[in-house]
Amino acid sequence: MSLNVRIITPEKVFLTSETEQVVLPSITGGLGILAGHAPLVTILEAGVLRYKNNGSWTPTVLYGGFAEVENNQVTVLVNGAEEVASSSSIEEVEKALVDATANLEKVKETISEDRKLKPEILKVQIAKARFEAVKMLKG
Amino acid sequence: MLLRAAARAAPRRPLVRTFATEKEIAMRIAATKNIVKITSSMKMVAAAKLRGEQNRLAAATKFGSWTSVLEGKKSTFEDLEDVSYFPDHSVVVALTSDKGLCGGVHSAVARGIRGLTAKLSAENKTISVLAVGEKGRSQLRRMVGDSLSMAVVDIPPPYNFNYASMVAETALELDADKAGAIQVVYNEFVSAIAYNPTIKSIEPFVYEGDDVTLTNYDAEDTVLKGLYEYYVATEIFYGMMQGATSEQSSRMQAMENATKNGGELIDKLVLIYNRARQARITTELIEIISGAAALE
Repeated sequence: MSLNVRIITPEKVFLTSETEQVVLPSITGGLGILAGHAPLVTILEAGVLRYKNNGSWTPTVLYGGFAEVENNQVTVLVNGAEEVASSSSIEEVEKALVDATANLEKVKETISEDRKLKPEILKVQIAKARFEAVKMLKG
Repeated sequence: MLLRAAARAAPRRPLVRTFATEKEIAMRIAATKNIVKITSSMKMVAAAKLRGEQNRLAAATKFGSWTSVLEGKKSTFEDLEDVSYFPDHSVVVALTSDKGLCGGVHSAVARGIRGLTAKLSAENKTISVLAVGEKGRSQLRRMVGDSLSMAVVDIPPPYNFNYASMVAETALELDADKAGAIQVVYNEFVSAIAYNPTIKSIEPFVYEGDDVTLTNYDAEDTVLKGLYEYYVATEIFYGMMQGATSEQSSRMQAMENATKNGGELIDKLVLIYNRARQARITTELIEIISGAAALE
C-alpha cells in the first residue's frame, strides 16, 4: 500500500510523488499521514510540508491552503509553494526571518486592524517556514 | 467601433468635384489605413495573449478540479429556466474586465444578470451584485442599478489567486447576514470562436454527519467555514481565468472583423477617390479644349 502526494497551486501542479509519509502544516499543528489514513480535510497554514522518500525527508514551503486525504491520496491545494534550494545559506534565511518579525512589530504599532495585518503575518510565517526548511535540509 | 464611425461618415458627404474633396478622400483613406493597422496589430496581440490565457486556464482547471466533487449547480444563462434553487437572497459576482474592444463578452454577463433579476423578482427573491471590472460596472449600473452594491475595478491582468481571494473576501462580507449563496457569473471558454455566459451557484456547507467522534480531528465548523471560503475563492479564480480567455478570443475575433471591414471601406474610398480624380481631369480637359476651340 503506497501513499501519493500531490501539491497543486493555482499556477501549476507543483508536485506529484509517491511517498512513505507526509507531514502537513495543519492549523492545529503538524499532522503526519501514513498509508491507509482515514479520510480527512484540514486547513493548512503557511509552513513546511515534508514527505519521506526512500528514507529521506524533502521539505517544501507552502503558503497556506487545504489538504484532503482519501484513498491513500493526499491532495494539497495551496495559494503558492516553493522548493527549498540546498544552496541557500541558513544565515540569510535567518536574517530574513528576523527582519520580517521586526517589520511586523513595527507595522503593529500603526495598524490595529487584524485584516490589514494578515499580509505581514503571512510574510513572517513564510520566512519562518523557509528557515525551518533550510535547517531541515542542512540537517 | 472606430471603423463603424468612419464608414458612416464617408458616403454621406456630397461629392462636389473640387480639389478639396479629392484631398479629403485621400486623407480619409490614410486615416482608415492607420486604423486598420491598429486593429490588425490588436488582433495579433490578442492572439498571443489568448495563448497565454489558455495556458493559465489549463493550470487553473487542474487547481479548480477539486470543486467538481461538490454539488455546486452550474448553468448557462440560455438553459437557466428554473430559478427555484436560488435562495431568497444571493450575492452575484459578475466577472468582467476593465478593457473593451472585445465584442460582446461584457454585455453577455450584464444581460445575463438582467434576465436573472427579472426571473428572480417573479419569485420575490433578491440579489446584490458585486461587479468586477469597469466594463461590467458601467453596464450593470444602467441595467440593474438598484441591485449593484459594490464594484472592484482597476486591476491589471493577468489575474492571480491573491486577487481572486480579495474579491471572494469582499463577496463573503457583502450582506453576510442574509445572503444564502454566492453566484459567480462569467463567460465560459468553449473554443476560440465561442463562449457561454455561465452562472455557478455556491452554497455554504452544512455538517450533516454524526456527532463528533474520535476520528474528527479538527473542529468541523472552522474547517467547513474555511473550506467554503476557499471554495468561493477557487470558483472566482477559475471564473476569472475562463473570462479572461473568452475575452481575448472574442477580442481577436472582433479585431479580425474590424480589419476586414476596414479593408472593404478602403476599397470603397479608393473607388470614390479615383472617380473624383477622373472627373477632375475630364473637367480640366473640357476646359482646355473648349478654350482652344474658342480661340480658333
